[in-house]
Parts: sequence; C-alpha cells; structure tokens
Amino acid sequence: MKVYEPLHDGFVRFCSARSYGVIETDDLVQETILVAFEKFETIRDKKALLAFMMRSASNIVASKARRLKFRGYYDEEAFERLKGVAPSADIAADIHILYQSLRKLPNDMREAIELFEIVGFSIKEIAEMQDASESAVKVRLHRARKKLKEELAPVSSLEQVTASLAILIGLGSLS
Amino acid sequence: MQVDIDPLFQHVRKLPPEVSLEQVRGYLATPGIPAGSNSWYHTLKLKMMIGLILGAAALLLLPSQHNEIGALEPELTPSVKRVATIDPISPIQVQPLSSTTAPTEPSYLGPEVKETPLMVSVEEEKKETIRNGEHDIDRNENDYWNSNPDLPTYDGGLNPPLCTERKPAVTQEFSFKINATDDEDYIGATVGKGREYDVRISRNKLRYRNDKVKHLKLEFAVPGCGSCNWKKFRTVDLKGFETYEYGWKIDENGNMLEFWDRVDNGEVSRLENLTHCCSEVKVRK
Repeated sequence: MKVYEPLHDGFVRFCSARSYGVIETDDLVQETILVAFEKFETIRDKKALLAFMMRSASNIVASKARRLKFRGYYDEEAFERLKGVAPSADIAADIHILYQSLRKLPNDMREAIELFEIVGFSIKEIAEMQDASESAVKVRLHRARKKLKEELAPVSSLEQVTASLAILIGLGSLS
Repeated sequence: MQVDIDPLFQHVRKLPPEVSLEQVRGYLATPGIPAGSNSWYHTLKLKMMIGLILGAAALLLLPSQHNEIGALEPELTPSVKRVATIDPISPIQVQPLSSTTAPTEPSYLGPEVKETPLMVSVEEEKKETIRNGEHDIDRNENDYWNSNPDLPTYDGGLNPPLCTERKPAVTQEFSFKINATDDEDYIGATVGKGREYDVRISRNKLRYRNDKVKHLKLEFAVPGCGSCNWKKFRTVDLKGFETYEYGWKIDENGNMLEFWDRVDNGEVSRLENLTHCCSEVKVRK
C-alpha cells in the first residue's frame, strides 16, 4: 500500500476514463489492484507499478469490451454515475462526450493522451511506458488532439442551411 | 469551427476519484487475500519449489540397483513373503450340562489364522535361457561383451585360457557379438573386416541376406563359472552357404557337453572340442 498510495489518484482517473461505458470504475480498480497484488513480488522495479497497473486495467477493459461488442455500451448508466460526480450537468455532458470520443481513438493514441492529459505524466515517462521514442509520443498526442477536435466539432446550423440550399439549387437547375 | 479540448481535460482532472483509498484497502482486506505484503506467500512457494527440486535430485542420485555388468548378471531382488499358517480346527469345547451360566465365549472359533512375522528371503533370479540346443538371443546378450571389457579374450589359437577354479556352471549362454536393430530378430552382425551385414537369427539359425559374405566372425561366450569368462572367436566359411545353425547340449549342472554347428546343406561341417574348465564339449560325429 505504501507504494500504491501516491499513485492512487492518477490511477483512478485513468480507470475512470478507460472504463467509461464498459465496466464500472470501482470494479476495474478492484480487479486491477488484485492482479497487481498477486504479481507484486514479480515486479522488479516498483517504480513501474503504475505502468503495470495501467496495462492490466487496459487489458481488462479490452477483454470486457470484446464481450460488449454485441450488446452495446452502458453509456446511459455511466452518464448517470458521472452526473453524480461532476460539479454540474453541463460539465458531466462534456466529459461524457469526451470519453465517447476517446473510445474511438486507436489504442496507442488513446493511451498517450489519457496518460498525458488525465493522469499527468510527462512525454518522457509516456515514452518509457509505451516503449516508444518521445517524438513518437508527441506525434500520437498531436494526432489524438486533432481527431478529438474533429469528433467534438459541432456542425453549425448556418453551414447546414447553406449545404441544403446548395443541394436544392442544384436539383432545380437540373429540372 | 475549432473546439478547445483543454478545458474538457481540466474538468476531468478536477473530478474527485471515483474510488477512494479506503475502498482500495477494503479490497485487500477481503477474506482469502492475505492483508499487507504477501511476501510470505511467495517465500512459501519458493521453499516448496526448492524442496521439490532437492527431492528430485536426491532420487536421481540414489545408488542404482543395477550392477555394471548389466542384465546378464543375476539381480538380487529381495522378495518379501507373507506366510499364513492355518491351525487345525480346534475341537468343540462342550460345556457341562449342569452349568447354569451360558458360555461367555463361542465354543467354536473356527480355524485360527496366524500370521508369522515377515520373512525376508533373498532369492537369486536366475536367468534360464538355455534349452537343449537352442537359445534365444536377446539384446541383453548382445550387451554382454560391451559391458565386460576386461574379459579375457581368446585369440583363436589352440589353447583357450583355462580357469583354475572348477565349479559348476550356473548358466551357459552363447552370446554373439551382434548389433541389434529395432527388429528383434533382424540383427546386423560384424562380418568380415568390420563390415556390417544383415543377419537374421531365428532360434539357432542364422540366415544371411547378403550372399557375398565370405567369412563370418562369430563371437560366443560361455560365462560359465563366473570367474573364467572367456570368449572364443569362431570363423565360419560362408562361401556358398546362407544358413548357419548351431546348438549345444548341456548337462543337468549346466555344463556344456556338446556344441555343434552346420551350414545349410545339412551336413555337420564343423565340430570343435570346446574344452573348458567348467565344461567339456564332446565331438559329435
């Protein structure tokens, strides 16, 4: 526990983001901690405990997500839980959309941006965790941000009206 | 329209952790999971592993029951016998009629079975492979020469080495120095100048697959008295023949009385006086 205590907050935030709509956060945290507890003696570098736990959590979520492919995600339940934790409903909705968008990212990108933005690791630490170069992590972060912005960008009503008018004009000239 | 995602992540970072540290402590205090460090558990596992390894090593290092000579030497196998003796039926004890009290014990107890203490007897399992004029060649015989490098050799001359100690032979076995293959009765023999030819042995007949073989050097041994093991090289001219038969007779003590061999024309072509300290071979004509 002495090793784990300073890592607790970052790890739970990571689990919250990872488990959204797939598994309840406390279940994921519990399963991951039990795995880490069983394998604790085999972890040579105790500094790598957090990385080990995050990897375990990712694997658990991935295996659960495979089973959910045919049943759908528990987004509504997760949103209800999020509303209970978030300071306001608007912020809960924003976070809900963010989590959904994160789920659409490739795993490397998702992991990089979660570790950087949510847990607060440096690029160097993420590079060590992902066994990649720092520049590769930077690229992943950049691409992840770009994709997230594309996902989150609302389609303005003016653009929608312009597009539909263009279609109608085109159809009228043809007739 | 550009969306700034940094505030979203800020919101996420400000969220209180969904699972508190106390909850985590509660997970680890679940019955069935040792609280605190589980190093004792791994230490125990390590000790068990070391014990298993040491036990396996000790089993491997135990002195072997087999002697160096191999399967031809009789193995001393202590056999434990549990002998049960049955006493004769004890006579019925008749109570006097005047007695008013019922017998407290049954009058008839049946045969008593007494177990004598364990008797340990060591019996030598003798390998009797000799039949009159026949013997089966097995692989153990082939290993005989390989496992007895110190046996005196006979150079084929007129005077085989003699043994000064005369005692009855235990077993009389001929052993051809042949290399067994996978098939039991399909054996490659050392023929000629170290060349390998296939020889088929059935009972006391050798059949050669290769008719180009001209000379076959047969080695056979009579490990008779145990102290004068000798081997004799027997050279057979195989030109024109494909079958070589051999046989012998031994007396009730296992002494060799006669050895004979012949080639496939049915005529006994070679008889040899195998005078030996323990056995005397009579020439059959």
